[in-house]
Amino acid sequence: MKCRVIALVGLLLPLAAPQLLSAQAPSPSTARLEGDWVRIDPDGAGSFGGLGASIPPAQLLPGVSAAAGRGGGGRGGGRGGRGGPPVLESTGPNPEGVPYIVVAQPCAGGLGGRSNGALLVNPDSGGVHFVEHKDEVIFAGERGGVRHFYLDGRQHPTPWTPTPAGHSIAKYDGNILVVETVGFTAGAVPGGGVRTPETRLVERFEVAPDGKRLTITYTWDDPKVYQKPHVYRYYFDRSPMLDSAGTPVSYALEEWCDAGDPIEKQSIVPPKQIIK
Amino acid sequence: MRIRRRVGLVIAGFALVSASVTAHHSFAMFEMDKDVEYRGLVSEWKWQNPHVHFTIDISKGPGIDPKQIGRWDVEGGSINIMTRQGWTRASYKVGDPATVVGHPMKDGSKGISLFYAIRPDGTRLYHDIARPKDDVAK
Repeated sequence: MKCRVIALVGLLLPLAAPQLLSAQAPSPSTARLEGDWVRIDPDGAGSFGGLGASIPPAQLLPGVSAAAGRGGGGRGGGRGGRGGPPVLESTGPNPEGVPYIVVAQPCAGGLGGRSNGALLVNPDSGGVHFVEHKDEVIFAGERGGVRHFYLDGRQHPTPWTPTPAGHSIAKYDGNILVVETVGFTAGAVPGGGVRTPETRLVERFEVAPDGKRLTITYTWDDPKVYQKPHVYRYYFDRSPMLDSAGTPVSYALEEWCDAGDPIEKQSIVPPKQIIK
Repeated sequence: MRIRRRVGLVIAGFALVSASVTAHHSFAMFEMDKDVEYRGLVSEWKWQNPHVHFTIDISKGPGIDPKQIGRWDVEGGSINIMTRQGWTRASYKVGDPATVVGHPMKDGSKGISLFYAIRPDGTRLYHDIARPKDDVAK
């Protein structure tokens, strides 16, 4: 009798396993999240600051505010650059040949989403890359930063030391990857929002049926911070494949920052003027 | 993970405005809301990370703003980002005529943050993902 049961299980298991796994399996290959993506400006915001300005303003509770501070810089921000203390504004134009130094500590933190100190939470125009596994999705930025979205049923750990990436658990809702993250370091959120280690972020990663467009819907929720959940969306296109000596390639994950390179810190170098 | 705090507090020390598109550094020294067209000849071409740079020489001529005469440093984005917008190592070479639209420096220095270049056929090569409304694919 025992042998019959074992044999029956042995016969049925291969049939049942795909059904069991489908609850956590990545979406069909036609609309897979896997691969390289680049953020786009679908509404013609027209400028770097404009993209940020198009985000609906967060509705904060009375007494909660994102006090001004300019750490992190970034386009539209101060002159602080990526992480690190702000660089003092020069008192006048630089002489010819003297570069404008705009980053105090290049590469600080390797924050792939940078400007608000969170890791790949609000990707900029650098490429991003997803790798879908059965038990986790890896989300990486070409300019640094990796997040792990765990699909294996684990819970958020307690205690947890806040990090720029927080701790993320995920599941598939049809073809949509739904990621819940808590445990961020405190900081700012696009649209004038704020986050604390207790703030909960839900991201929904939805790939269009043709596999070419990705929409990320962000929902920040914290009853001690927000009057109502702060929701906004970012849009991405699949990174174009480019020809490299006859081989199609993508450029995601090929860029890096070398903090020892003085050129990383600089911007405009006023040219020597020979035309009068 | 239940760190209890009284939140009615001011969360300080972080950016109020979280720029959605960043690059390797801040662009606060440019007038990002001002788009200016420059026409000149490419005098230096640096296809390099972290940001592509090239210089253009603007000489006296009809329709040229006298304030633009001189050599200008044009700053673009990383090679990755510009390649996705259609740029290549061979987009320009020294001596090529170039028309660029960019954001001037606040302090009047001869530096430009590139918005886009206008090719001879009138099409645009954008530095990055930002687009004006009149050039968004519908």
